[in-house]
Formats: sequence, structure tokens, C-alpha cells
Amino acid sequence: MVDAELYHIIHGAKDGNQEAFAELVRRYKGHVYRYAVGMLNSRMDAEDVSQEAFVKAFYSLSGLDNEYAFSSWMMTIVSNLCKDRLKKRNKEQDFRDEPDECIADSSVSDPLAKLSVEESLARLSVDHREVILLHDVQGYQYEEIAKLLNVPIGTVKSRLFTARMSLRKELAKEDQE
Amino acid sequence: MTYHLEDQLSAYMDGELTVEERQQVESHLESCESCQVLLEELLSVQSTVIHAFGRIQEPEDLEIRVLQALSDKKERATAEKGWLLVPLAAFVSLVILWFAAGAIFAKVLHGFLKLMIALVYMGSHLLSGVPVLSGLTVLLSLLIITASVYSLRRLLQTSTS
Repeated sequence: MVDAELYHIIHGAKDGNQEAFAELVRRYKGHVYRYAVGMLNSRMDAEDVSQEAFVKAFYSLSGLDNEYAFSSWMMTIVSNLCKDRLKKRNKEQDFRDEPDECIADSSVSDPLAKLSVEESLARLSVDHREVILLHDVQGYQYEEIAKLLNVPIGTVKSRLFTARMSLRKELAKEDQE
Repeated sequence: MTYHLEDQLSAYMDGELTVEERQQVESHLESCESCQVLLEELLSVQSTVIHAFGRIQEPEDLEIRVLQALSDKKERATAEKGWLLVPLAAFVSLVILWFAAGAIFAKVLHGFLKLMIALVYMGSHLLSGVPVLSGLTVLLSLLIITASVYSLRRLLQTSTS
């Protein structure tokens, strides 16, 4: 949901107001960064992609038809950039051969527990990772996810179920190890 | 054989089922222990994800980095525009120079041409006046042509071999 204040900020940024855009970055940087971390399983890549996503957003904001759709529009940008980055990794054949750089967050008391969830998520397919992040981390509903990914609601429903079943399996493996 | 509603459990816990579907799942859950366990596990997976990602902090300088990247890009664009102006400025300067000093330049060119014509005329006059000199000129020309043909042939032979 976009409140009136946020609507004005988005509108200002759309008109080229850099202050308003800075406020948008402040508000959305957490969402964008967490999504990128989940998709890429690398803090460094997530930082790069988040920065790139906001820069891209600044230059294409004038093309945003509806201010209320900013959040999902922003998520589409970061999602596409993450997928591009993953494709690039696959081409370089680094994705499976070498483990990604996972720098433990110093603010987290138990970095191993956190790492295992990210690692487990990274073992799922991109589509499965994506629906889990959009629903459980970003808080989108099925209908919104369907629009964002341009797939039927039924697909979102079945994809999320399969994704959770796979993640459950991966987390169980982690527990055994 | 009991039909389990496993594939509905995920949507059930997200509150994404119709009233009828939800009632079906709830009534199934009352009698199915394995589905109850699965639901608990799926809820636990969801909570683990929410908890783990909720603790990820974005880098503090992300916002500064974005604004810095935007300002760098703007500067680069301005600099590129500046470089595009260089040939334009050079062309404009040439046009101005042409209009300012065009008359002087035309006069100098005209004088130079006149001088060249006079020199050619004087040379031909001198040659026709002294027959030995004209004979020598013809001989010298033939010599130069022969030497040129010879050196050209040698050059072609070396490059093909």
C-alpha cells in the first residue's frame, strides 16, 4: 500500500527531484537489498545490484505510469538485474563450482543459523527462490506476485508450495549436517 | 486410500484459499496427523525464512553510494557533451576566421598564382631561346623516365618474390 506521503515522494522523484529520490532509496533500500541477497546469496553482488537497481530506477522513473505501482515496479527492476547476474555467473561457470562469497553479518548473533537459510535457499531454482522471497520476505500476496511475474495465480500457488517443500528438505539436510 | 490436501496447505497458511477450500482443509486436518505435521513444518520453514531475512541489515552507505553513482553519471554525461562541443567549436572558429581574414587570404593566393605563371613562362622562354639547353632537357627527361621504369620493375620483382 502506498500512503499519501509516499505518493508525493514518488511523484516528486518522478519529476526529477533528487531529494525525493534519496528519500525513496532510504525507504526501499532494505527491501531491495534483502531480495538481492536472497536471490544471489552474495552480499557483495547484492550491494552492486541494489545500487544498479536504484540508478536504473532514477533514470526510468519518468516512465512509471502509476505511483501506486512503484514498489512492484522497483522489485521488477531488481529481479531482472538479479536474473541477469545469475545468467552471467552461469556463463562463467562459477555458480556451482565455487561457493559464493558469504560474509557473515557482524550484527547477527548466530551467523551460522542465518547462513544456512541463505545457503539452503540458494540451492532452490531461481523461480522457487523468487516466490519465497516475494511472499515471505517482501510480503506480497499471491495476486500481486502473479502480476509481478506475469503468471497465473494458480502457478504462484503451486510454485510456492513446491518451493517450500524443497526448502524444507534443504533445511532438514542442513540440520543433519 | 486417503486423499491428502498437501498442495493446499501452503495456500491455507497464507490465507489464500476460498472459504470453501479452507473449510475442506480444516476438516481434513482434524483427522489427518501427517498433514498436521506437514503444516507445522511448513509454518516453521516460513518463520525461519522471515526471521533470517529480517536480521539482514542493508549496508549503511548504500544510499550514499547510489547518490554518488548518480552524480558520477551526471558528470560523465556533461563531460561527454563537452567533448562533442570541441569539433563544433573548431568548425565555428574556422568559419569566423574565413570571414575575418578571407579577403587577405584570397589576395595572397592570387599573388602566388601570378608568380607561378610568370616563373613557368620565364622557364619556357629560356628553353626555347637556347636550343642546346632544350636538347639537354629532353635528354634529362628521358633519363629520368628510364631510371623510374627500371626502379619500378625492380621494386615489383622484389615484392612478388
